[in-house]
Amino acid sequence: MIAQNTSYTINQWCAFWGATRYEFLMQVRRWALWIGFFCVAALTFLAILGTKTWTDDSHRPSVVSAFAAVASLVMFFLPIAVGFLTTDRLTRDRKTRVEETLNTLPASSGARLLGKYIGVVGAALLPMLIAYAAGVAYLLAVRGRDTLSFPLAVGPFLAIIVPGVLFVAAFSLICPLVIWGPLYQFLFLGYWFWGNLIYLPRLPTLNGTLLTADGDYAAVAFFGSDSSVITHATAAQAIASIALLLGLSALILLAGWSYQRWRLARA
Amino acid sequence: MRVIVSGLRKTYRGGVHALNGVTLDIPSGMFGLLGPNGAGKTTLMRILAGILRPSGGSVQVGAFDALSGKGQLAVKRLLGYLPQELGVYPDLSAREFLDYIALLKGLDDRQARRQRVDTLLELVALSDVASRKLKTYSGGMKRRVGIAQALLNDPQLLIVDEPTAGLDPEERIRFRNLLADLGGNRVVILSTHIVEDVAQTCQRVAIMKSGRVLFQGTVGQLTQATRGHVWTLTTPHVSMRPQGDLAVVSTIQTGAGAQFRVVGDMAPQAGARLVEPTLEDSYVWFMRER
Ligand SMILES: Nc1ncnc2c1ncn2[C@@H]1O[C@H](COP(=O)(O)OP(=O)(O)O)[C@@H](O)[C@H]1O
Ligand SMILES: [Mg+2]
Repeated sequence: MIAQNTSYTINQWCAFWGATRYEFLMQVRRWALWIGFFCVAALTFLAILGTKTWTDDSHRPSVVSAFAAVASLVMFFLPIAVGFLTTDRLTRDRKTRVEETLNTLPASSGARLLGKYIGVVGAALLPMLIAYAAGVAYLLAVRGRDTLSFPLAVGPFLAIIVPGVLFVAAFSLICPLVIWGPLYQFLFLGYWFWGNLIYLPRLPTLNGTLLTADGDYAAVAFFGSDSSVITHATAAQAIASIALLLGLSALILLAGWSYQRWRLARA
Repeated sequence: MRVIVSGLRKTYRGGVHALNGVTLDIPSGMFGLLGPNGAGKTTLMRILAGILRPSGGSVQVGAFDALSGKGQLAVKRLLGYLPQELGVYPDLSAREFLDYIALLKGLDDRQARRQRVDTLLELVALSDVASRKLKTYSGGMKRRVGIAQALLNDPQLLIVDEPTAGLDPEERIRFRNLLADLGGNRVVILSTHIVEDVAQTCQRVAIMKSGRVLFQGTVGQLTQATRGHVWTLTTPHVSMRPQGDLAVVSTIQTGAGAQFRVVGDMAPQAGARLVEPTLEDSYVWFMRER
């Protein structure tokens, strides 16, 4: 049988790992995930077919800047899929009524939320990694870039893609607790275009500020990429941008966690 | 293990008084909580499970004050809870779902956890379909996953809310047999509005109505308390129903007329015969009071 632990609480790492593992599993099992990512990736591909900046990279002598350009490309539309597919992850606990059981378990709500978040982020990064790897493979195989430079591809993935996905996933997980899911998705779509894609000189925007989530600062500052609205960025700015994204993600998660606890205490 | 509930009150926002001073003393073994829909059974169980805050009163689970922060954490470790409407993740298999819950219950030894999940799948007779997605499960099968989930941590306090509601007769009997074996050293609280569930599984019972406890004691004491109030009464025709402050439990048409089984206070009369009360008679007796 089960050894009776004398402490009042359980090993919360165990709960965290459980949530991470199964939230990841449930997410990667969704057909919607793969179809969604495939369609958006195809859209991205079509969108760049005719643009010279992307198809002709002879002006990017450094291989890592070419990798960074691929990462930026991945961060064009794919985060929209991340946002859309994350929207229901927390609210569906309520809809499926699993929440009632979950709340009676000794796992802390913090461990469960964080595990869910990491699991969802992992599931979002997987197709993005595949898309990115495909781009990198294309550079190496077709463009004749130096095959030995392959390990350098890790940098742009970590600095350009991961922070943005962490940011988008945190908001898309938590916000639907208080906003109707489809409305959130609509707002999120608007936000992504306004804050990250469209750049009109007269339009006030997050694009080009440190708050831009598509990794432009890192792309320019760390890897010398030229594929964004930002033409100059220092490493300090890029670090600040990443720190800002991660800090905001942590804040929104904290807010969501507090909100859940508050709701439970009010019941 | 013992659960002591005293003076428990719950008023929902909007002013529904779901519990009006519930006091119960629940020792180890199977304890039936019997009452009609709306009696407050689910409210009581949700408070015991720590997901609902009472408006007043106290709950003692073993050595712990279940309403204090620390006590609540301790109780969660001892608790197995099967909610009235069990939710599952449709895209997980039964084995995966149980493994997930086991992790959330802190079963951190991989080998022991696997074994526990397999044992319980065996117990609820789902081993053969354990790898199938839960969305393909029937209501009865889901309920069995639910009881397996509740038992993962070998709980000292097991709370099952209306476990047989909505099951077909075969599933219900199977589920009752499963529950009947779970008593022993732990406290099992089973709520139901079906008298037969309690009759088949519980040693002790409480009857609830409108947020109050009308009776608590052993099943024997319950029928004892009703003795002298249950009659059979024969009339020449089924349309001649017994008159007075009586509740009819059953009607049987016979060739010579109709035989009624009634519960109530009745002066001895021709054709009326005092009979031994069943649990159902007792339930009707307590329901018609007040
Ligand atoms: N969340 C709620 N908000 C307001 N009233 C509720 C809520 N849940 C239950 N009630 C009311 O409380 C009473 C008791 O309900 P419940 O505990 O579910 O009874 P039972 O489980 O015995 O059927 C009912 O009148 C019900 O309508
Ligand atoms: Mg109920």
